[in-house]
Amino acid sequence: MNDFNAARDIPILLGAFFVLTAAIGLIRFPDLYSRLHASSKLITLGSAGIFIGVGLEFAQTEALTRLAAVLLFQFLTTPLSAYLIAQAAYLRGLEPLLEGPDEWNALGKAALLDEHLEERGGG
Amino acid sequence: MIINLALGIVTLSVLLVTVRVLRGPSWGDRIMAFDFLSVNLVVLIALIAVKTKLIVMLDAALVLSLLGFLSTVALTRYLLLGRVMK
Amino acid sequence: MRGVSLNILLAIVWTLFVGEFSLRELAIGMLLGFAILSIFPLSLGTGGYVRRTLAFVRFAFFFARELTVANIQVALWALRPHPPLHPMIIAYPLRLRGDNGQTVLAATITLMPGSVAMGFNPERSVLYAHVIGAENPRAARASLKKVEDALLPLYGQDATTTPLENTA
Repeated sequence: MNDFNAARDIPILLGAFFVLTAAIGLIRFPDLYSRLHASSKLITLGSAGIFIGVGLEFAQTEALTRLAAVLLFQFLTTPLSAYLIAQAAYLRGLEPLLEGPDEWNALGKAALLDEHLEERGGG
Repeated sequence: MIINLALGIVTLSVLLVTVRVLRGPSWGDRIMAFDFLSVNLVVLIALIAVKTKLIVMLDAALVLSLLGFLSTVALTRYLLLGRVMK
Repeated sequence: MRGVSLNILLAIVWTLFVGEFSLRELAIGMLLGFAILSIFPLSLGTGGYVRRTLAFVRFAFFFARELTVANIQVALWALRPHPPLHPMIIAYPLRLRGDNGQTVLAATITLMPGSVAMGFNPERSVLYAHVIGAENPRAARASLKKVEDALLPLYGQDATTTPLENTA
């Protein structure tokens, strides 16, 4: 621990902690849609922390531009893939475990899927 | 060293997510776990770049994050529409 | 567009003044240029650009704070024995118009505490979201409204716009 560097190590450790809690949430949460909460939110900040720590470690332009690209890309794509997975699973009939209302299901799943496929230009 | 500790933690999370990939139970869960796994590997490669002091590793991380997102999009499209492209 | 190009031009002029072309000097030049543009919005015609940039900065701070809150919340739920999830799927009538803004809204609420976007209706006037940790749909819609309020000025709409559809 003699080369402890707070500015670099605290983001890395916090990020690693969030990544691990995301994995624990993935194991423990009851259904796909709840697990998506764990995976999308925690992985975004977790990987951001680690990339910031790695950037402070290198502190060179070549490394910083690449890390900035990866970071930006993570922030753009993680919510999109969560959205795509939730939508595909729901429209293909994976029942969510709910303790509240399901306000999307007013028309029934089959009608929703038909509507979606029609919008995309035929199944 | 902190980097080793972080590598250990991220590796543990990779193992936990692999359990989720194997157990499923639905295809949606597997796709989500694969997506998560690819981000985990990107993080792992970034940490290995610090450990080996090789900046080239970060290029690999960039490419892997692109590939992970593309494969998630392709898999969800296949699940939803039954095909990937027109 | 005019605002952005003027700002970049001023940043380049600043690096010429300093005589050193580097990322740091360019960033300082951008900041100084932005100060000039916000002091003389009428004569330079950059009022819209300044307003939009300020709205963006405010949104970035809001986003960072909410993302941190969301992460701590979900991390605690993942670690405690019986997390109070109360999952439900709510319909949120949108006030935001246009594909860009709605996509950004969907991506943002996925990273906000307790909500994941799941889909739109075909008319794109209602957003469906999976919500955990809220007692009732009303509370969940209120937290989504907060995010939408922060996004509306970015897309040039004022906060008094009313949704097309009313889901009670």
